[in-house]
Amino acid sequence: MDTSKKRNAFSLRSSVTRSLSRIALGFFSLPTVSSLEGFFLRLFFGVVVAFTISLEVPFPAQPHPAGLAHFFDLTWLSDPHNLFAYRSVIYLLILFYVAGLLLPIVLPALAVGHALMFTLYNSQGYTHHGYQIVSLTLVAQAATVLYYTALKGLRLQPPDALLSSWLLVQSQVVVVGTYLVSFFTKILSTGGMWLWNANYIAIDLIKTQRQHYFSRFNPTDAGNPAEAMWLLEHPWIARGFFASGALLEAIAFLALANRRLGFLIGVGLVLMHRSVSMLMGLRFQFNEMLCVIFLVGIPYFVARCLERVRSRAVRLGILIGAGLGVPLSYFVQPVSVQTSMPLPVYLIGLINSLSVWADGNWMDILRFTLPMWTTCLVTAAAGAMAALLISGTKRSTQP
Amino acid sequence: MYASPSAEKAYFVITDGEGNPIPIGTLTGVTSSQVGKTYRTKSRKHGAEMKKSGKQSRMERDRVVGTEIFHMLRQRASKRGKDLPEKLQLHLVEIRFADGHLEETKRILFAE
Repeated sequence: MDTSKKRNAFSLRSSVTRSLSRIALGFFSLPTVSSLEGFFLRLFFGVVVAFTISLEVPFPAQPHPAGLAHFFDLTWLSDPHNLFAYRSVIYLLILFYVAGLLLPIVLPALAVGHALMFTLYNSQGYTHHGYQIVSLTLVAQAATVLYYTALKGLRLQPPDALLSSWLLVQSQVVVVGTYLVSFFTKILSTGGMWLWNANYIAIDLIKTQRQHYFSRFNPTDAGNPAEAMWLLEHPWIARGFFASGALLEAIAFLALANRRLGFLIGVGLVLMHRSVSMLMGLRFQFNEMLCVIFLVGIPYFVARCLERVRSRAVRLGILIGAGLGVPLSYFVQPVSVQTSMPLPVYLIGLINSLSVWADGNWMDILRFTLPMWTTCLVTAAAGAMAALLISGTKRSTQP
Repeated sequence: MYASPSAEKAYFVITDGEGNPIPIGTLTGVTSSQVGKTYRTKSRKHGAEMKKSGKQSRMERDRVVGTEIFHMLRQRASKRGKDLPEKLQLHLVEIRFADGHLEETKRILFAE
């Protein structure tokens, strides 16, 4: 009996040790990123970057310059014509980025260009940190590409497997790094008392609701939020609830160990943001989007699905077909849409439909984007069939 | 997020000359939270300038900061084609949780 207990304890200990050493080793090995996953990573992140620049910056002055605004006057962005030109250049850079072309030139230009708009926004006296994670990821990717270029020489074609892995890992480092910084800020700014005082976040909740109310007089924001009052009356439950969020921030770096942990932590962080949004009405949509892309790994799963199609030609046919379906869907839209917006504005409208992430207006967005989804499905199928036909004909004409 | 929770917090309210709150976000695009951030940024800047010149007065600082904030709000409102009341006031409201009760105290930082 004793021997079997000892054996069980030993086997438990060794399996825990094995798991821990596997996690530790994960930090020193790069994930394998296929060219298809690399493409989807750039595509999804590129769409997010394009969505961020829909922000308006009607600021004719920069009274409290931040960052680059100390050296440059960025108020030219407040002119609608200049803003249009600026956005056009950024969209063009994003197209090159998604295609993976000229990355050593495109990524640094995109990183600096993207930061300009938000620097002007943050030079008004009230900073907003919501977009910083996107700019920081671009900066990290640009630095990665430049380092790779210095090491291996200039490469203007789509990135190879090594560079794709580096780009993924560095993006993950930025995402989890923001949470780790947030955790340490909590601990340092409160002299280690954050967890003990965490129940008072309920006061922040009330303050936030008051600020919402006095901004727009929305009747739903009037009065004391019931959840906050309840949390104030139950301090230990409040501490436990908010501490779980802080703990998740503290261990977010484990997502770098392997894809499974990345998935679990990514889902956990999205749920944390969703609960904050429900409780306080504060949205961290770009954090959520980047967690979904780089930690949860949606591009990885999409690529894995497509890689199940064995023929490379058919895969390419599906991709090209689906890609063509996006602009073609314009002609399937109701006449009212076609007359109200030209094709380029329609494409930007599709990107900006990402706003559904924060406003939850799913019905309107589905109505607007449904023609695109259906067209893409049809054109992807057509692309696959065309690829089959072409490859079949080639094979039959070969001696 | 919420780096320093405490039993006391403060927020800012913009009112008309009679002390009635106005929906500042709807009128100007600048939210109550952004008014608070601007107040703190400008207070830091002007506080440092006053310290250098040897004149330290919280009232004077609030007057300068309040004037600048109201000027910015009027500019933003006119860009949106909205009118702000002729006179504005900047209020600081402190929320405190003590002995199981929530208390709020309001004071004027600057009034036109």
